[in-house]
Amino acid sequence: MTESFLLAGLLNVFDPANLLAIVAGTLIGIVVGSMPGLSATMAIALLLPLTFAMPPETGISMLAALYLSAMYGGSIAAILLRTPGTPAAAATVMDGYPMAMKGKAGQALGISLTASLIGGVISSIVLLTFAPLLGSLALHFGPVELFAVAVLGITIVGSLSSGAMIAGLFSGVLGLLIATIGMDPTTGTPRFTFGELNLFSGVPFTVALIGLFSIPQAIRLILQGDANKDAAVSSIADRMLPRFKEFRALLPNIVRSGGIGVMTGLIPGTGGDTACWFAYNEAKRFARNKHEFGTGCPAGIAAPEAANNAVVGGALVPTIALGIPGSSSTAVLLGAFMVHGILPGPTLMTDHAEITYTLLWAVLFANIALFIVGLLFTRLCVSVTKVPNRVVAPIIVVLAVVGSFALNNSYFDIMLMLVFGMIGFAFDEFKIPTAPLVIGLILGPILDASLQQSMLIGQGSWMIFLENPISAVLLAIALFSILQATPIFGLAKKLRYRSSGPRNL
Amino acid sequence: MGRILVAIAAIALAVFFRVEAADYRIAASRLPDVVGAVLILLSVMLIVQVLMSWRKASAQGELTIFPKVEPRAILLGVAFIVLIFAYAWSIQTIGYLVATPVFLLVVLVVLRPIHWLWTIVITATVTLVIWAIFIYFLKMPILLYPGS
Repeated sequence: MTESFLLAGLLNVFDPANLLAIVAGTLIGIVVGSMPGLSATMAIALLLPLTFAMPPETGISMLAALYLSAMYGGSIAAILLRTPGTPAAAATVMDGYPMAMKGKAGQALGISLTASLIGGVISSIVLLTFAPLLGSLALHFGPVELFAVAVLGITIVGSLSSGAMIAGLFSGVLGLLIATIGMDPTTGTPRFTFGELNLFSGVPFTVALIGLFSIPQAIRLILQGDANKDAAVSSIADRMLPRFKEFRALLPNIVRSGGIGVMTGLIPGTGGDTACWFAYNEAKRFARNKHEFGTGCPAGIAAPEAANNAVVGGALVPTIALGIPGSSSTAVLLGAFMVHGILPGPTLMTDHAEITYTLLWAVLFANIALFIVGLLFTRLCVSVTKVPNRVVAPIIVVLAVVGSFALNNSYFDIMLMLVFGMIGFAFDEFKIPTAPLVIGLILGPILDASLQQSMLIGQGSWMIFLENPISAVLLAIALFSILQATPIFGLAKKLRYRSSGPRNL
Repeated sequence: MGRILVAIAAIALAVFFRVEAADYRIAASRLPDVVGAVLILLSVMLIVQVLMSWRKASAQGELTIFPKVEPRAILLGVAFIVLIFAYAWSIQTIGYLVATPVFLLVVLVVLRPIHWLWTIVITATVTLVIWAIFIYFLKMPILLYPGS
């Protein structure tokens, strides 16, 4: 069965419309990624309304290509401006900019592009192999297990939010509460709608996404101005592609970093920003020329770039197989499924197999497209990095307003989008992570439906979740991830340290 | 301080939802009740966490409850937010083809990030490209100009 779906997906990718969408997504991704301050998540959220007019597989393939290529685009700004275009390119600045300052901007970008290709291909192979396997396992899950998976998803994403575990969990649970607005799936009772017909079908997820990711970004760009663009490298004069000898020397580092990227992507709540530093540090640890890191060392560019592109495939495994996104970018990508009326969950791999398997192949082909488009257009992207932030900001607002209207042709959605924009801005300012909120919004309906069904199976008893072994284990892990975010865990660690004493150190 | 305000707002929301859900059937109120209770708990933990960090900062003589923000940045941020809301409102009343160029021109003329000629070119291009994609190709039924 899986083989036939894989074949159908492969044939679908070769459809000219899909190939064109992949190339277009790649180009948009490189351009967006190369503009400092613009994230892949925001670009996907803003382009979501456009995909409404496309067949689902075409639209989703375009967005996946955009997500992937924005990772490389981020390195263009990192190398030329010393400002990462995306958080995932933060580590690339360390060696990319010094290399560009030595007049080797082309070489730095070429290494980045090559490493991105290999990291991306490794992760695509993992995605094509493991997503169907995990998907077939998840098919045996009933509502009880699904409830536990959703609870685990939200707690892991919340508790892994870097440096803000309680805030992350808070954000995720707030997302779940907002997701309860609308008709109850079992009884049809309108909940918290206050007679507003536009809320009967719930808070439109895509509208919330556009607001959360675009409006705060636009405000930030206005406030930042263009202070960081003075140190820019303004041209690429040297050769981009690395020579074979150079490539061979970098290959083990690229493959290792790709592996790190895939593993990091698989863990919900972590992403390219974590993977790039992890891979950079490992590359430095394994290198003989450690002292050269930070001065324009090729390995210092290859490692983070291979890792951040490999994250994409890894992050898509739980997103596609379980319907549980691990990051804001994959959550937005899952939103593309929802725009086309496809609900996330394990049925993505069966009921909507043709679309899902097309996406799996699209990720692989997007890597190849990225390499070709990158070679052809990177030099042009140099001019994109010079576009002032204060020009980009109002354009983002126009796209957000028009895009949120386009989803349901509703002015109410524009105002709702702005409300979420304000929530997103407040969250950013007060350092409360937004990604768990988005994931809460996605998982809310799954949690709601699976809870109702489980309670029916368990005849109203909550014990049903503990009697089922899979659900009990998953909930225990969820509880552990919550506890380690609380002072209780810290207290327990202190007590254990005191009882064992410093002799164990 | 901001986190405390967000946490208090979340508690208020959770309590309000709980009161509202009291009239719903058990099945409909089950998840909002559970999630609301967890949200209140996490909000309290968030407040306690901030208070503890204040106590620590106070002991080190580094306590700042309201971080310093430049008045110009506040003014700029508030003005831009007001402008965004005004644009969202005006697009429903005076239409896309009037509201969009006015919004772009106001931002680009006041902040002057580029030469005035580029301001005109970008305003016209953005308005037309978005019109072509969303309104011409996707047939989005948005008001174009007053009375259209």
